[in-house]
Order: sequence, then structure tokens, then C-alpha cells
Amino acid sequence: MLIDIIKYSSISTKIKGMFSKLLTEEDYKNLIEKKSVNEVAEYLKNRTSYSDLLSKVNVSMIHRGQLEKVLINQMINDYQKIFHHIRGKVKGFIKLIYDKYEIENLKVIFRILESGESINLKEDSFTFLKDNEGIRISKLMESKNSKQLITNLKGTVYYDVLKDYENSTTFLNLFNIETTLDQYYFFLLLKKEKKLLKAEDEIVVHETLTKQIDIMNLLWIYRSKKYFNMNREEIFNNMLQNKSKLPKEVIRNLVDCKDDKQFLVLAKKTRYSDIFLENNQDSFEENYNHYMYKLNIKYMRNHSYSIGAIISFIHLKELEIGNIISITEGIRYNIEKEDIKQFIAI
Amino acid sequence: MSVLKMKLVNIAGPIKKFDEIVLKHIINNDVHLENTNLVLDSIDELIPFMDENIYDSKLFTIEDLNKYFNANVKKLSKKRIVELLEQTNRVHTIDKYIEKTKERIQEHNRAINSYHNSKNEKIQIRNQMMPIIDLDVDIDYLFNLEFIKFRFGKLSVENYRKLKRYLGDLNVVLITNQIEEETVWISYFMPAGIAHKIDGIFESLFFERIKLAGGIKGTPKQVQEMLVKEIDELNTKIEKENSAFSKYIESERVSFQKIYTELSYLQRVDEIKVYAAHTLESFYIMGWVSEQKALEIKKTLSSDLEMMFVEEDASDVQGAKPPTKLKNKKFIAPYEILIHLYGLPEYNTIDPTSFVAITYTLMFGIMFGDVGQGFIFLLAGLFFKFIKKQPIGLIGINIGIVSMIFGGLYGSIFGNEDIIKPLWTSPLHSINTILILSVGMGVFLIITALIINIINKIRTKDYGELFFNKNGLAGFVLYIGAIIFVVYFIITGKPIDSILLMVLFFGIPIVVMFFEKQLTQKLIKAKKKHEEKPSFVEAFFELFEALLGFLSNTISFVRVGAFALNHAGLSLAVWSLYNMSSSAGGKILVVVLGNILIIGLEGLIVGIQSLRLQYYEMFSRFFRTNGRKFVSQNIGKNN
Repeated sequence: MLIDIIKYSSISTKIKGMFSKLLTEEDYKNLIEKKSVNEVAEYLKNRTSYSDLLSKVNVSMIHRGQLEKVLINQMINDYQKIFHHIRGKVKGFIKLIYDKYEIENLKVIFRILESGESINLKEDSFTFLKDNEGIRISKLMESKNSKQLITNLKGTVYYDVLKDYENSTTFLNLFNIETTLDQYYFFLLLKKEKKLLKAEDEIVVHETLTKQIDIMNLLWIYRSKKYFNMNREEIFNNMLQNKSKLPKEVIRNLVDCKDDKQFLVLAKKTRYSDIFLENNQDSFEENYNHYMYKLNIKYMRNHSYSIGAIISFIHLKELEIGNIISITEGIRYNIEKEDIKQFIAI
Repeated sequence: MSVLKMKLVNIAGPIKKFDEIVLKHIINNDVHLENTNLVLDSIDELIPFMDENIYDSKLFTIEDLNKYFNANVKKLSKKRIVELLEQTNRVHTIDKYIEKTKERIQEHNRAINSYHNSKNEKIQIRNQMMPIIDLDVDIDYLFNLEFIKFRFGKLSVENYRKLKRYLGDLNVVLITNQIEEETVWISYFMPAGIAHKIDGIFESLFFERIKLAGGIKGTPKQVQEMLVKEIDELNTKIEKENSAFSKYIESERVSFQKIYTELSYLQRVDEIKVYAAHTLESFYIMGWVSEQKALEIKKTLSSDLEMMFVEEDASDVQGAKPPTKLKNKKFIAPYEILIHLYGLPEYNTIDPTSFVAITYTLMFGIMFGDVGQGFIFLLAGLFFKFIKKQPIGLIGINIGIVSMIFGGLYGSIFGNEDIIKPLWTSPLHSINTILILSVGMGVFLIITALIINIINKIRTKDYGELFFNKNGLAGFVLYIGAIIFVVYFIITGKPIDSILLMVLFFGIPIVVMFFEKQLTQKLIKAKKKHEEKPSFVEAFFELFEALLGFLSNTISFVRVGAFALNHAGLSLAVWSLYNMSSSAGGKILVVVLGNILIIGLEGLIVGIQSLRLQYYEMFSRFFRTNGRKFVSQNIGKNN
């Protein structure tokens, strides 16, 4: 324990500092009241930790997309600060966060290609895609369709992950590609967690990860029941890593439900019943975010001298940015204030 | 012997000659480049080269290919550089060569891969046959049953894991043949009626089926024999391909090395552009060189009317500090490593290497005086110097010799003081003499350090520190005064009774040192405007520390004598043990082990202590470690 306090003392202080600068409930209340994106930006500039980055921007002219970019840049800034304070193997684990964004960016490219459009580097920003470890952005951008993109990824890990789809007309579709990439990412997390982390670090991270995987799997089964009417093998194939807190039997029963209603009845009996309490499926994703928010706050408090605090802070930061984006979208599309509130995870 | 005198050379000429100048005069030519854009940032017409280095990616590729060739970059001779410059389409040549080589290597890899894959498949089929090897049934018949279908093939570990999730619920019998790092070989049986559905599930997991029935005829035994033959054939094919490939590598190595070397040079030329600047037609580049080198460059460039060459003395240059390059005679050059451990001296100050070479060796010898053990050090030094070819061996030789000399003076050989008569005295018999002499040596060395510092301060024109600092003239006078007073007292037995001398040697220096900052600001033009206001408390403690420092640094040299005693004492212990042990074997063991212990432990401690004395007692007085390292643009190994 003592050694953890020494090991994480500087980063823990840093994280606590950044944690205290996260938006409060009060802030969200005020933000929802704003009438335009510019007012939101104005508020963020004057009242919150985003002031530094927004100080160079003319908020009266800001566009929703630009604001999003500023927010993401701030996130990157925070990561770099965190990164600077970490030493040793743990750093390797924290680095995986970049991989996540890299995968998200890749998914965006696939989405663009599948929708038949071409990639425009200037309009879509791929902040996290960098020329590294075999990735050559210019080469990726030449791709005309998903198949070519996979071929152009040759030399990267993503090629190995996706190579089965390269020559398969039956299975090459956006859904499969995205699922495969997600599965790969969680596989990577679990593998590295075991390899790079120890003791308290490992316990905390493992807890969060398995819970996250479980909930995502449950949401997936629910969706497959409600919208896709898939056979059980497909449902199993598209689930994330099977490192579950739930017994295998329970999962099997959930998959074997005949429809979404039966699924909900069973899901409410699991440890994740909180998420499926209301029968309004729109709120499940929000419930999930809310659940993760509470979990992360808990870890921040109880395990402040472990990597758990770092990971939790990063999750919280992501949730915060998601919240702000939800608010600006809500304002932009004139959604009722009460409804916007639902989309905010606090 | 010293820190090398530097000149800043500025070269300007038409842009088309940039490559030539860099290749001929900068690369491998001991030039420390200075970033022109930073030094001359006030001249608007000069702009930095902004083009991307086109050779970077090529070099990257060729280094990748070099995994197969293991070639080294060689230094190009003058003639070869001229040849390189004369090639008109060198980029094209390099590109074509890289492309060709890459093609050939890929071809080889493809061939080897395909051979390995089919070999692996055949091995898997053979393993598959093992359990049914004694069946006297035609394989073809076995695999075309009416009600049961059979499949054999592989899938990825990842998908195998997925399959396991719901395998129990499928009407399938799965046999896992072999689990490899990435793939799993399996076979499965299923009722013919649902074969379509099951195959669909396996297909969605990217199961790669390998058809056995196709080319295979006969009983399992016959098939087995056939497979073994085919595997053998594949093995010979692989061998053939490998030997053909290594022949290719051998035949191509020379030209690969040539291209690799040329590319490295060209890439460096482009990299050096970062240091240069240009106008519309001319380039401009500057760097530090030794005076001699400056003359050489001047001579060759003066005949070229297109080129402009200007050299400046280090003292005339504004905005750039000259780098430090130590130049010492071969004999003491290895001691530079002790200097680098501490830091790099400022340009224009005295290079302490020769000083260290003498004092370090001497102190080691005094502390570790022994004819036999010194001889061991001498042998070790010779070994490193001449067999391992490491220059540091020279230090070993030197300390070995000096240790032997002092061993002779002390009369000690392998710690034994009875064999030879001391030429001077044994440390344990004249403890006081040894200790007083070592303090005496300390006094001498500290005075030397102060003198070096005074010379340095004159050279760097730091007059404030020269006159008023504890390591400047003020400290020097104080220290000399203290020494005179003490020596006088020891010799005559009564203190010097002169107010005048007291004021001269103690009063004035102490007052001057106390008011060092004020005096510097008042009398010598203050360099920095916003210097913090000196505080009297701080000045008092600094003065106190300085006085204490002189005392403790001097006494610190007692350790030179103390370790000589220590060494003798340890030796005495070893030889006492020798006398106590009864058997001849025991005696030899004690002497050998004891000497190993003394050489290992005592040698280490003495080595460290000598260094410690250098760093703390002397370097801290005159050595300012803010020198810049001299970095030249070197490529390749000597032929």
C-alpha cells in the first residue's frame, strides 16, 4: 500500500486536481438553459476548465463541429499531462486508450466508405490516426471501399484482425467489421491488463472491464432480439470476450429468450438490473453511462492511489465530453430541456 | 592538451552546389553545425529549407531490406564522393534498385510461405490419418458416407474460442487436432441432413476447409506414404529456394552496400538542410571547426569563385557559444572519461584532463602502494589496452606502475612487508608523517585548483568572480595567508603577531567575499539588470560555508594517507592469518584469497576515493560544466 502511495503520489495529486475541475451538476443545469451553441461555448470559456483552449477561439462565431474539436483537444491535453506523470509498465496500459481512439477513427473511415462516400481528410478530422507502426494515412485515404481499406492496412495489427474479411463477400459488412474491431480491443485490454498490471491495479481494472463487457453484451443481446432477429450462433459470435461476472447458464438463457420482452424479464434478475429497470429502451444506453459514471466515481474515491483512479478519471472525462456534445446537439435540434437532461450521465 | 580553439566558418554559394559542399566538406569532416536560421534570424532574405526529406522513406525501406543483407554503411572516399556527385539521375537509380531488390525478396518470401503452408497442411492431414492408419478401407469411401458428413480444416484461435461458447448446443462432434499460436486445426462430424446449416455456422467463423477426398486415393496407409513423400519433396523445395536466395544475397551484397551507403549520405545531406538557410539563388551554412580545419576548407574553397567563405573567431561571434572539443595526447586521452563523468568544461577554459591524469594516478598509487598488486593492475591494463583494444586500459597501466613505485617506497609486495626493504618507509611505522604529507599534498592541490580557476576567470572575463569570489583572488589570498600562519606557528611555536598581515590576509579577503555581490554590481558592469537584491543573511552563511570549505577540503586529503594505512593494515591482517594457518595449502589459500579481496575491495574503494577527491575538493573550485558537446556529422565505418 505504502509503495502504491509513493508510486502514484504525483499522478494522484494531478488527477485529483483535474477531477475537481470536471463540470458539476450546477454547470450542467446552467448549460442546458443555454439557447445556442455559442452561449454554451461562452459559458465553457468563462466558467470552466476549458477556458485555456477556448481563449484562442472566437466563441461568438463557433460552430458545433469546432467546439467538439476543442473539447477533444482538451481531452488529449489531459492525457498528455497524465502520461507525463506515469512510469513503468502501467504506462503501457494507459497507452491502450490511444488505441481505442485509433480504432474509433478507423471505424469512421469504414462507415464513410460503406455509405459510398469518399474520405475527405480536411473535413473529417482523424485526430488519433497517426503515421505509426505501419499505418500510412495517405495510403488509407486512397481506399475506395472497405475491401481496399483492409488491404491498405497491411502491416498493421488491424490487418491481422480483419484479414478474414478481405476476400469474403458474404461477411464483409460494416456491422461485422465494427464488431470484430471491438472484440479485438477488449481482447487487447484483457490481455494487457493481465500482463502489465499487478495487485490492486489489476483488481480495479478487471472489475471495471468485466462489468463494462457484461453490460455491453447484455445491450447487444437485447438489440439483437428486438431489431435483428438473429440466430443464437450469430448472437454468440458477435458478443465481446466472455470474461463475465454472470454465470454461463444465465447468458445462455438470455440468448435463448424468444423475444425482447422475455429478455427484459430475465435481465432484471441479474446484477445489472439497474440498467433495465424502465421499459423504455432509449434509456438503456443512458442508464449504462450513468452506471459507469457512478462506478468510476466510486473507484476514484476508494482507490485513489492506483491505476484505477487514472482509468476512472479518463472515463469520466469521456463521459463529460459526451454530455457536452449531447447538450449542444439537443440545443441545435431544439429538444426539450427535460429530454436533454435524460441524455446526460451524472 | 587543451580545449580546442574553434572558428566559426560561414559558407555561402549557389544552391545547386549545396550537395557538393556538404558531401565534401561537412560530412565526416569534424564540423559542428550551427543552425543558421537561429543565429542569423534578423536577416529577412534568408529563409530555411522547408522541403520534406525525400530520402527518409527510402532509407527506411532500405534499412528494412538490410535485415536480409546485414550490410554496413561505409565511409566514402573522396573519389567515390565525386562519382556520386556526377551521377545525374541518382534518385532514379536508387529507386529502381530498391524496387528490384524488394521484388526479389518478396518473391522469395511468397515462395517460402506457400511451401510452408502446403507442408503444414499435409502434416495436419497425416496426423489426421494416424488413428485410422490400420483400416483397410478406401479413404474416398470413408469420407463420402451417406448419413454422416465430415470436415477437416483450420480456423483462428479467436473464432475457435467463440465456437466454444455454443458448441454444446450444436449437433456436431468436434475433434480438436492441434492448437497452434494463431490457428486451430479441427475436424467435425455432423448428420448429413443439417450439414448445410452447420457448415454455414462454421463458415461464418471463417473455417478454412481442406478437402481430403479430392486428390487422395487408396487406404490410409497408402495415403500416409504418399503424404510423407510429398512432404519430403516440399522440404527439398524449401531448401533449394533458401540456398538460391542466400546465393542471391551473396552476389548482391556489394551493390546493395553501395546503394545503402550512397542513400545514407544523400539522406544526411538533406537532413543537414535543417541547419542551412537560403535566398533565391544561394545557400548559407555555418559551423564550428578547429583552426586547422578552417585553413583546409579555406584553401580548397578559395579556388572556387562561386563560393564565399568567411571565418570568425569565437570571441567575435554573437548569439552562439562555441562547442567544447577536448584534444589530448594519446597518453592521457583515456582520462577524458573521468572528465565527461563530471561534465564538459566551458569553451575557453583550461582542459583539466592532464591535471587529472597526474593527480588521479598519483593519489591512487599513494593509497594503493604495493609492488605485487600494482603489477596485477599493470597486467590488467595491458590486457585491456592491447588485447581488448580499449584505451581505458592505459589508466590501468599507469596506476599499476605508480602503485608499484610506491610499493617499492613502502617496501610492500602482495601486502608482505618483510620480503623487500622499504626505500623510504612503511606507512604503519610512520603514521604521522604519512598523514601530514597527505594534507600537505592537499594544500598544494587546492592552491593549484585556485590558480586554474583564476586563469579560467581571466579567460572568460568574469572579473567579479575573479576578484571577489571564494575561489577567486580573495579566496586565494585568504587560503595562502592561513597556510603561512599555520606553518609559521608549527615551526616557531608562536603565532605571527602582526596586525598588518592579519588585515591583509584575513580582514580584506573576508570583507570582500562578504560583499561579493555588491562589489560586483558596483565596480564591474552588472551583466544582468534584474539581479536579485543580495541578502546579508545569505552572504553571511555563504562566507561561513566558504571558510569551513577551505578547512574541510584540506583535511579531506587526510584520507589519502588514511587509505595508505588502511591498505597496509588490511595486508597485515592477511599475513597474520597466514602465520596462524598451519598447513601449506591453507597458507597459500589465505594469501591468494586475501590478495584478491584487497585488490577487489580496496582497489575499488581507492579508485572511487581518488575520483571523489578530484570532483569535490578540486573540480568544484574551477570547473564549470556548461560546455556544449562538439557533435560532428559522421556516417559509416572506416573501410
